[in-house]
Amino acid sequence: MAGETLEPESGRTIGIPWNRLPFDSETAQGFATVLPVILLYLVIAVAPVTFALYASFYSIPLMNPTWEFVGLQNYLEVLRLDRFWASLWRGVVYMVGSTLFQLVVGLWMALALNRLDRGQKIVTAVVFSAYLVPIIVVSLLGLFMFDTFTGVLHVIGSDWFGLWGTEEFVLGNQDWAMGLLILLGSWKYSVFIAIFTLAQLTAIPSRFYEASKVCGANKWEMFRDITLPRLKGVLLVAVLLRSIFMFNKFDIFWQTTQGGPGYATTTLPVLTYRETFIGGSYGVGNAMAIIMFLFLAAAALMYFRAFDPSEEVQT
Amino acid sequence: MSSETAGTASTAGSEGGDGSTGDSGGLLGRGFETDDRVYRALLYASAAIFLLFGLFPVYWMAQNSLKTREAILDGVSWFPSAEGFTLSNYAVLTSGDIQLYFFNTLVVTMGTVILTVVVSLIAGYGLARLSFPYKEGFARFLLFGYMFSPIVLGLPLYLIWQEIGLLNSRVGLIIALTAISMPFSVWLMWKYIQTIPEAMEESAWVVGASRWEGFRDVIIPQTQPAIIASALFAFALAWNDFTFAQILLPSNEATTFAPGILRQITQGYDIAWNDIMAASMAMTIPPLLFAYFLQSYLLQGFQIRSL
Amino acid sequence: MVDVRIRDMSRVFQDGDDEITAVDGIDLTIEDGEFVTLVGPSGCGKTTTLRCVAGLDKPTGGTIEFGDRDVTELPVQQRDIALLFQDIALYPHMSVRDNMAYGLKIAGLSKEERYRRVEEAASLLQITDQLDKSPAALSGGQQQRVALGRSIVRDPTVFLFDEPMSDLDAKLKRDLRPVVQQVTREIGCPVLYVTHDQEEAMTMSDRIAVMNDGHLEQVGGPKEVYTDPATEFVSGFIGQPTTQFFDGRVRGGDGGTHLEIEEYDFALPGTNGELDGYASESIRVGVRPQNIGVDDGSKGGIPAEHVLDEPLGDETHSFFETEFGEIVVVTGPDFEGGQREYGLVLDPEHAKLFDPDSGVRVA
Repeated sequence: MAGETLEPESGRTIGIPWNRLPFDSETAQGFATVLPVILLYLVIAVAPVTFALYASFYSIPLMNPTWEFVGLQNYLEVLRLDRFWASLWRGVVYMVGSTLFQLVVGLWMALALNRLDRGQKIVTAVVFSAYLVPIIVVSLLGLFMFDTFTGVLHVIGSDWFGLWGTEEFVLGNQDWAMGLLILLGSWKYSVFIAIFTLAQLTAIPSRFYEASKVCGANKWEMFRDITLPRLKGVLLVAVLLRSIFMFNKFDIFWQTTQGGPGYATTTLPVLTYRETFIGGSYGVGNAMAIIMFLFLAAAALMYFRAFDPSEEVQT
Repeated sequence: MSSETAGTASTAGSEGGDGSTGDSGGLLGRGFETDDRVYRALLYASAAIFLLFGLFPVYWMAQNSLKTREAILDGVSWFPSAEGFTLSNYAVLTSGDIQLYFFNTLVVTMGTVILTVVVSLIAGYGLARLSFPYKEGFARFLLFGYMFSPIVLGLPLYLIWQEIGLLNSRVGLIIALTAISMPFSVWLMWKYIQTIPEAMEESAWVVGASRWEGFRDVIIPQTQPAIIASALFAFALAWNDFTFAQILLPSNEATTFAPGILRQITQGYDIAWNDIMAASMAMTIPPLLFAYFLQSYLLQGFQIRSL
Repeated sequence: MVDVRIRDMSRVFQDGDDEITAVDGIDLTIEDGEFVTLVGPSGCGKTTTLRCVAGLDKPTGGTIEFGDRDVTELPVQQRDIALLFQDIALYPHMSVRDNMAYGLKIAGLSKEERYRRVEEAASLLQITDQLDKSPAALSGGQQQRVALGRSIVRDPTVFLFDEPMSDLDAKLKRDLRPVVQQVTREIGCPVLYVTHDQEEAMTMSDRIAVMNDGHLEQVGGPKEVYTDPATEFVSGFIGQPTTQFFDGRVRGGDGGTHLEIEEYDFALPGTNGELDGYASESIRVGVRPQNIGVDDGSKGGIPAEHVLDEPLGDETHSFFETEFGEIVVVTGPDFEGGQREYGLVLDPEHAKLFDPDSGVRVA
């Protein structure tokens, strides 16, 4: 089959010799498609963090930004602050409390919704809408429902259960505020875990359960041997993400208590905001932001260890 | 008998995920019907609890948005009374600052949704269909976006935006919100487009369609579920945002609903719970509708493994 | 008038630092109006070859010409080809009509002209009543007809098929084969049809190109590759059940050339000296199951224990266990082995001899 001879000299490729460039056109196109994402990241993340690092070495009064180099003094000041350590501790309490609560409730919701055979769509809609309702509405409802004059939850707590006095604004109570904020936030964010879990649950083929039924497994055994192993990875990621998000929570605090009463609900993000925009010391604020960023970086490492993205990249 | 029933209940309950570990031993020799009845009872009880906790706040918001200011100040009541009923609270949506906040929120949300979908669709297509080096590095880089904390980034952005004139600009906020919606959206598009057979596009090229025409006529129509899902998440993100807007939109004219209404309350302007509840309803109804009609897309978004 | 000429074409894939040669310098010419089937096991490079011809992939060496046009560097859009895919790739968001008209739309034809041509193609393929349905509502066979229709409305210069029937069941395949042949004949352009199914290759082609491991083993008519295989691979690949192979030895000497397989001796028919270099050398012997006889074992055949029969109606495939391993024999429709002892008789007349190292046919 080597019959044909005489290869004609073909004058080929006119224009840009793509195949002779150090990269081919597909590589260029590929980079072009992700370039907007990279630019967004550069503008919104890389530049600010770099800038914050730089600014954290300066003393910068917010109202009249004159930059004065102070070296590590901002960091020393932050680390010497009692309220920094107290805020860090409160942040950890809030993070752990919220995440655990959300994990339990979210798992419960997902498992129940997955098995529900009647009214599933409407119940799911109610649950999901909690995730889509903006946090400001949750906060406003919290403020309204715990209001001493008009609040229904205030009345239920004081008149029905006697948990607190009739005159007492519980969101302004040292003992109650943090716990209530955990519950308030969890009303919205438990659904995050529920959606994560439910998505995974619906992806488990029913033949797995049928097979185990044939083997005589009961519901608990099916949950333990089929459902749970399948959920483990997803739950790990969800818990990790929720922990990170809850540790960084700022909105619900500022909307309801602004860190009060006193410092009872001042977590690290709240303290940072206060020092910067109320205290007016932009350099110190940025030093705190950098410290928080370091926590995040540690979390990111854990995240990448828990779930290796490189295995997802192929195919 | 009663202790046996309790054993069954705890077993069935653990399927509901309340965390208590039931011992399966108590189940031996029991009729499946009893087991099943208790299980269903717990299932429906769970659904009832979700409905109660999910709907009660919305109901409370709705009924108080229909009360006059005086009726609310009269104290807790479970329904609006005849004389306390009014629709006039909703006038707050079309007047004054609240109207302005709503307009800004709408602009920011729509801008974020559109920008997110466009950018993530293009990036997702490139990642799924073009071969270029450092994809793995990009995947890591992308997921790092989950660590973007509005408070950590907003602080330095405040002075940067001020310097380049994006402070108090809705565009500045749209850019910031689009960036933090990227990891989810790009990953979703990437994984979704991978599920569309390459032959689909190739068959378009064969008949003469350019890469762009193939993308427009074949990929985009088939990516619709992922587009809806990522639009939905971008909506949730932008509609929910408080921290970025609070920091990056300090002026009253430019700000969105969340920081705006909070400012009204803390500065003690003439605003009352009846108005706040009416405004809150307006912020709640779109999510309710989306949650009902688009819930399958919401699930689909999370089904793509690994976020 | 156009023919397709593939000259010394190679495709090497880069996998990190490893190089994987999928196609290793093949030459193939498809005349105008000729139906050539590229057949081979999976991973042999046949699909890569087709994708290079289509322009979906670029060869790393050699050239491809359509007529006197060198298309090696030409993008797929400008090659004016038709291509049928294994996963049929109809657009789920368009009606059947719009699926078929899509190429014409891209070409900028008016709506009336587009739909007129679609109607024409549809009546040829007998899918006129399906035009307004969505592709998802069609059966697999009908979908492939639509894909065929999508290709022919544009009157392509070259027609390519990439295992278009491998997802269809046997009956649908048989129904569709004549349709494919009719349609391609109507268009009258060169056809390159890739498949791993030798039955498809045998029944449809003017010529078959058997490919293995990036090389073309043989190109020839269906009968030629069956009766006159050029290599051990072709002999083993074409034909059902597959050719049975033995390790033998050639012995020259008095009374002609003999073939020894272990202790069995066969007198080879008169040869023209092809075996001269192989005297006392080992050699591969291939015998088709059709050319193996079964007797009761008294005439010195290879002792064999019958294992099972697969009755196919007009013939039976019988499996025997022998000292050479399992051997399949095509027996008569009435044969029933009953797990008894038999003797297998090889017909040296039909034995094909291959060089044990290169696999090339010797005699």
